[in-house]
Parts: sequence; structure tokens; C-alpha cells
Amino acid sequence: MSDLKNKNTMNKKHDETPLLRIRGLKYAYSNDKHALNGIDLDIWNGEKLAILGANGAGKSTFFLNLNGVLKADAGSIELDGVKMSQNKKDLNRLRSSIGIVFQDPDNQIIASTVRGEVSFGPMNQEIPVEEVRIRTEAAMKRMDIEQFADRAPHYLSSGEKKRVAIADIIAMHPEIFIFDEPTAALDPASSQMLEGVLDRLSDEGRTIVVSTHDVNFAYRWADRIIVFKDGKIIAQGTPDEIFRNREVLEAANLHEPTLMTVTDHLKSAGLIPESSDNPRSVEAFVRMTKELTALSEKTTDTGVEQSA
Amino acid sequence: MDPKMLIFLIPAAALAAGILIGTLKAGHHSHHHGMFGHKHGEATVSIDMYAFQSALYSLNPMFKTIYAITLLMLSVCMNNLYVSVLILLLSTFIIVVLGKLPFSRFLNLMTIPFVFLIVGTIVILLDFSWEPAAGALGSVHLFNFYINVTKTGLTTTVLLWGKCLGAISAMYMMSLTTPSGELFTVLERMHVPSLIIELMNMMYRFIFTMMDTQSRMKNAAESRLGYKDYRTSIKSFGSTASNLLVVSFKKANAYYDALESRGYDGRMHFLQEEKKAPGRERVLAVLSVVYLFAVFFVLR
Repeated sequence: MSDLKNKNTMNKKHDETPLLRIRGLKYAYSNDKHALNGIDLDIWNGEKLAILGANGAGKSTFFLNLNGVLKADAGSIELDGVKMSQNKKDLNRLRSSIGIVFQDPDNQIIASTVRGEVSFGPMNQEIPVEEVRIRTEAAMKRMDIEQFADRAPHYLSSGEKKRVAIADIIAMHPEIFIFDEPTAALDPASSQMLEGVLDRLSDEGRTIVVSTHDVNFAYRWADRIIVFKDGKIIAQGTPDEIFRNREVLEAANLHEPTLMTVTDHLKSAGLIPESSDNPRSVEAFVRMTKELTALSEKTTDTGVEQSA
Repeated sequence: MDPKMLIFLIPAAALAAGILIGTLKAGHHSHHHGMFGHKHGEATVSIDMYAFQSALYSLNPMFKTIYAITLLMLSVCMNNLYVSVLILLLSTFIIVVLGKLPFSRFLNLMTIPFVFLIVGTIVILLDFSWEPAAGALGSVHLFNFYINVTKTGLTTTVLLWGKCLGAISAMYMMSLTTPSGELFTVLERMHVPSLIIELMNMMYRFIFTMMDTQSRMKNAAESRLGYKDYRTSIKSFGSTASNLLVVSFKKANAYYDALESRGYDGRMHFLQEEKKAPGRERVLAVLSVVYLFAVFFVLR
């Protein structure tokens, strides 16, 4: 884990090839100003990448470009060190290797049964039907939707539809999972389910890219954060680097993660030693406070003994 | 009474009793509201939903489809009231007792074709003439002409009703136990062109997403007094409809992106669960068809 983090922060110096190397990517919608204005980005194998940025900053357009659904006007995409052209073979390769879970499952789900839906991607990958069947069942099991297998998608709740949409992509066995604003319009239970899925996927070493507006989520989850603004990447770095950077936060209209603000205040009030690491999740925060109390009890205990 | 009639009366009575007992039994532990009439736009959706809830849902769709089509053909081609009535009772028995659909809901669905049936056969039943027809069962004098009900008119009408209701109930038997997705697969196996199957698939999916969008827009308009009187209703309906068009274009785009990103190349293939061909049910189905033939030959 820490190896990975080092790799990510020092990726520029690294001589290993990234899983995906994007250089100078430009894209303009017809009759519109540039939606993407020269994107340079390396995505490393196994990393957890969060993409922040206001609506219309170009995140979704960027994803569709990665996948070859939108054809870039300029720039290059390298997958595993191989430059991808825009011919059919390479496009299919990109679509097989990069799976996008779209924001609204209702814009993604096409089949009339859940099983049919999950099998759609693998069927297009032209693998033997038996293998498709195995993958489909495994993906449904994974997302806990087997009991809906023969149901029509429109009778599912939105949380269940989201699970179907994720199973769609899992069944394709992509190298990179992209989640476009996955927690938008989900209730707390479904959001929690989603974070569990993200954690499990990255525990298996998959590469995950998530676009989000939730800074607290990005802070606790991501290895690395990319900030988009007006079709450009204005900053990238570890969560701490990004959220300590006032200029970036201001430019992208982001606020500090709550936990960071709280910890900083506790530090300046002297309640937490300056030297301790900032906890990135509530669990880590609780652990830290427990350790601190245990520590202070110990010192007072020894103090009492000495005076006696 | 002709003893030959027993071949019709015994199974008819048995099926009717079965339906009655099944309905009474179900009535004890399930109370549902609304005997007749459904809310606006619910009919298509409810048929679709009943199929998923049917106790016969797990049966092989190919089998159900072939059986239903066989019954439909028998009802239409045999031109025999007894056969048709038996088919009507048999289908109702299968839907209500074996499929466990509440009888009132089935009755409710039957009212839809019933209206068409009444309107369609009224001209056959009634005979217009300048003079009272000889041998008419009844006639009404109106202005300077007569409306007669003749014996042939009546028998034709009754036969027609029997045939239609038998055929319709057979089709309901299929659609109330088999979800659309499975029907598409059956059609595919019957070598219907894949383009048509894909279109059906997409239409089926879009009916629901569009209905969803429409009802949301309607609610939004309603909550802003958009339907307070006739005039505004018309106006709101118009803007909702035109908006729906715009939304469907947008949605179509979003859909296409999502399809492409999963490698869509113009052909749509889905995995479908193989439901095993039934054993006992198949035997019963064949027996019932054989029996209907027997009725046809005995009571011709």
C-alpha cells in the first residue's frame, strides 16, 4: 500500500509504464468551446484516483474520451505502453479495458432482465457464451443481485439499479473501473454499499477512478486527487497536498474536508500534538483520539506514582 | 338432454368449480382493493407485473407460448362454441388457480377486449329492415324501420363471442405468465428477424423510462397548478409532451454513449436463463388439446 502511494506521488520520476498515459487530450463538442483543453494524466496500476471539479468542468467528457465513445480531436492515449489509434480494434480494446459505471443507471440499463443486462458487455467482448455465463453469474453474486436475475430492471429500486449498473461493468473484467459521480442520488445505505464495493475492488488490486463532488469521500478514499476546471487539470497530488492548497480549493470552488478542519483546529488548540498525522476517515480519527487518551492516562498514572 | 353433452358439461363444470373454489380460497388470505377499473395508464404495466408475480412464471416460455397459440388456433378455427367455452374456462383456470392471479384482476383485464367485442358484434346481432323480419326473436319499430334480432344473428353473435373470448383468454394466459423479455427470446427462436427483436427490446425498456419521465414532469406541473382547469391542462399537457420529445432525444444520446462504452457494435445480445422444458405440464397440455379435439368431433 505505502509502496503504491510513493509510486503515485513520484510518478513523474518513475520509469515504469503507467497503465494509462494520456497526453494533450483535446475535445470540443460541435458549436461549443473546448470541453477538454489538453489533458495530461498518468493512471497507475492499482491506484485509487478521485477526480474533483464543478459540473461542466469536463469530467464526464474526459471519461467518454478515454473509452473512445467520443473521439478526441487531438492528443494520445497509451494503454499499457501501446498507443491506441481510433480504429475499431483499438477502440474495442479500450472499451474492454476501461469500464464506465454511468451516473444514472436508467441511462445505462438496456435489457429487459437483470441477467440479460449484466451479460450485455461480456457478450460484446466476443468471448465464449459459457464464459459469459460464468462472468455474469459471478458479477451478479458479487453485487448481491442474484435474486433479481430474472426480474425486469424497471421494478428495482434506485439502489438496486445502481448495483446492476456496477455488475454490468464487473462482468466485463476491465483493467480500469471508472465511476461517474457514483454516490449522486443514492441514499446513505446505498452510498455505504458503494464504498464497500470500491474498497473490495481496490483490495483486489483493480485500478479505480471516481469522479465526485464529495470532498470528505475523496479525502478518506483516494490515493491521489485530480482537480478539473474548464477542461483542464489544475492540480494533482495526494489528498493532503490538494486540500492544503488554498489556491486550488478556491479556483475549483472546493472546501476543506470536515475532518481536516476539525483536526487542524484541535491541533491549534493544543488538544492534539502537532506532530500526529491527520486522520482521513472517522474511524482513523476515533482510533487516534483513543490512542491519545490512553497515552495521557498513562502519563498521569506515572505522574501520580512519582508524587506518591 | 343429449348424453353427448356430458363430454362438454362435466369438464366445464369441473373447471368452473375449480375457479370458484380457487377464488374463494385466495379471497380468505388476500384482500386487495378495487374490483373494477384501473388508474390511468396502469393497464400495460400491470400485465407486465402480473407476469413476474405469476406462479407459472418459472415454466418454460417456449412451452407456454406454443400452448397458448395452439389454444388460440383451436378456438378460432374449430368454429365450435363448446370448444371455445372450454378454452375460456381452461385458460381462466390456468391463470387464476394455477397462476394465482386474483380473479377480480383477471376479470378487470377481460373488460378491455369486452368493450371492443360488444361494439364489434352489435351490427351482426341487429338486423335492420323496412318490415318486421319473419321469424325474428324480437323487433323494435323505430321511425320507419325495424330493428330485428334473428335466430341466426343471435347464434352467430354468441359463437363469435365464444371464439373471441376463448382466443383472448388463451393469449392472456401467455402474457400474464410470461414476461416480455422471455417472449422476445421465444420470437427469436422462431426466427423473427433480430432487428425487430432488438427494436421490441428497446421499446419495452423505453416505455418504462419514458413513462417515468412523463409522470415526473406531470407531477411537477400539477404541483404548480398546471392542471387546475381544462385550459391549463391542455396547455400543460402540450408542453409536457413536447418536453418529453426533447428529453427522449437527450436520453437516447446518453443511452447510446453507455451502450458504446460497453462495446455495442450494432448487434444486441443478451444472456437468457434456460428454463427446463416441463414434463408433467407437457403431458397435461397435450391431453387437454386431444380432449378439445374429442369435444369438437362429438359435438360438431
